[in-house]
Amino acid sequence: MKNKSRFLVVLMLMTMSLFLIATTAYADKDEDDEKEYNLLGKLEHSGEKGKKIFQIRSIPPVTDTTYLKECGACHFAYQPGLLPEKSWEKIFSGLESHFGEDASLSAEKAKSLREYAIQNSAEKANSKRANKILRSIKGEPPLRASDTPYLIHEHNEFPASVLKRKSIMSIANCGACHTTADRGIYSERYIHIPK
Amino acid sequence: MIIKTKSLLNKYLILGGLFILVLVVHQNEVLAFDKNPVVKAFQKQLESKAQNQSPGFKGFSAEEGEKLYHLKRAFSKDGETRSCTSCHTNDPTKPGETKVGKAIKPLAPKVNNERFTDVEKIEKWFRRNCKWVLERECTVVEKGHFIEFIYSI
Ligand code: HEC
Ligand code: HEC
Ligand code: HEC
Repeated sequence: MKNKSRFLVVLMLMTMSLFLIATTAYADKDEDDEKEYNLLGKLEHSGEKGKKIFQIRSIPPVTDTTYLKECGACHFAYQPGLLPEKSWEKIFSGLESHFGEDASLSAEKAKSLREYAIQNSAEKANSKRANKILRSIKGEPPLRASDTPYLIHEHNEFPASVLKRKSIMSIANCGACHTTADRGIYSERYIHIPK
Repeated sequence: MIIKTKSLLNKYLILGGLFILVLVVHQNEVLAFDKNPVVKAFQKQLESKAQNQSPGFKGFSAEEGEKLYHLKRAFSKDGETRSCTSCHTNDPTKPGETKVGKAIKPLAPKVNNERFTDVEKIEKWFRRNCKWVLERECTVVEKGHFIEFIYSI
């Protein structure tokens, strides 16, 4: 009788540890992004300190509401952490002729958005993905995040014809495939390429 | 007795008819879309500028605005056909889409009451979109026509 219950306890402990091992193996890095995002939400209230504790994987989401509105009118509002400071400077000095469109703003708005982008650029993001983007750039930084060597490399797996789909239209339409792009999460797990 | 019920019936018929008439008139009032104070003031401004610029100016016309909306123009650099409808579709009461695949809420104030409520925003988008389609800014007359058209829908 005593032996049997001891056996049962051992069995239970074994299955439990097996279960634990299995779940930790499953909790891959993508899930960390999600956890990290939730944690960051809390850390935001503890100010800059939170950001410095560890390097995050995701790109910090946009927090400036004017940026979201003005730079999100024609396309997804790209996180400043997707490009280095120099790229943002170039973008903001040429808004009148912005990829074939006029994206000009009042001088006042342009100045504050430029500052926001530069203060949160890839160099300041403290993010692994932003650092990968930064490190991949050799020479003059491009205007487009999608033209940085790291992202060109990440995006070379699907044929160009995919981008012509009505549901996608352009590689610049990040949110079409990265369903969590607005939260700065670009993990493979949340990619869904629409038909 | 018979006569009395008949006249009573007539009275009810007349009253009923009047009631329906009032309803219909009221409905029409709701349907005909009123310009908000912001866009009214903006159009007044356009009007006085138009009168100053061209003495022959005869007021804004929805018809002219509709022509501008559907105008197709070849872009000088590559011959691409460009029009207001390229992004806002043939029907301004329907949602549109930018060239980068972002949805645009309908332009017609009848179905989207956020439209034409902020002069800075109206001017900003006239500037951007006229430049994209016409490769120049729209004139005050064109802007006035366009607003007349969009409120006639
Ligand atoms: C009038 C429309 C419009 C507005 C407003 C606008 N953009 Fe753009 N933007 C475009 C177009 C068009 C492209 C090119 C997209 C493509 O290639 O499909 C673009 C591309 C970009 C890209 C490159 C995306 C890539 O491929 O990596 C960045 C970065 C960018 N815009 C930043 C901004 C910022 C910052 C603002 C706000 C100040 C802004 N945009 C406002 C139209 C606009
Ligand atoms: C047509 C769909 C599509 C569009 C549009 C798109 N991506 Fe991607 N993205 C992918 C795919 C597929 C991958 C590769 C995933 C893999 O194999 O790891 C990827 C990978 C990435 C990665 C690396 C993720 C990782 O876990 O290694 C980043 C960062 C990224 N994309 C950012 C962007 C940004 C920023 C934009 C917009 C400028 C964008 N993507 C537009 C489909 C897309
Ligand atoms: C390249 C795409 C594109 C084209 C072409 C285009 N528009 Fe627009 N338009 C937009 C976008 C994007 C907005 C902003 C949508 C929003 O704020 O929801 C807009 C907004 C507007 C507004 C602002 C209304 C308001 O108060 O909210 C007006 C007016 C307007 N467009 C007029 C025109 C006219 C006139 C033409 C043709 C000469 C035209 N558009 C062609 C993309 C376009």
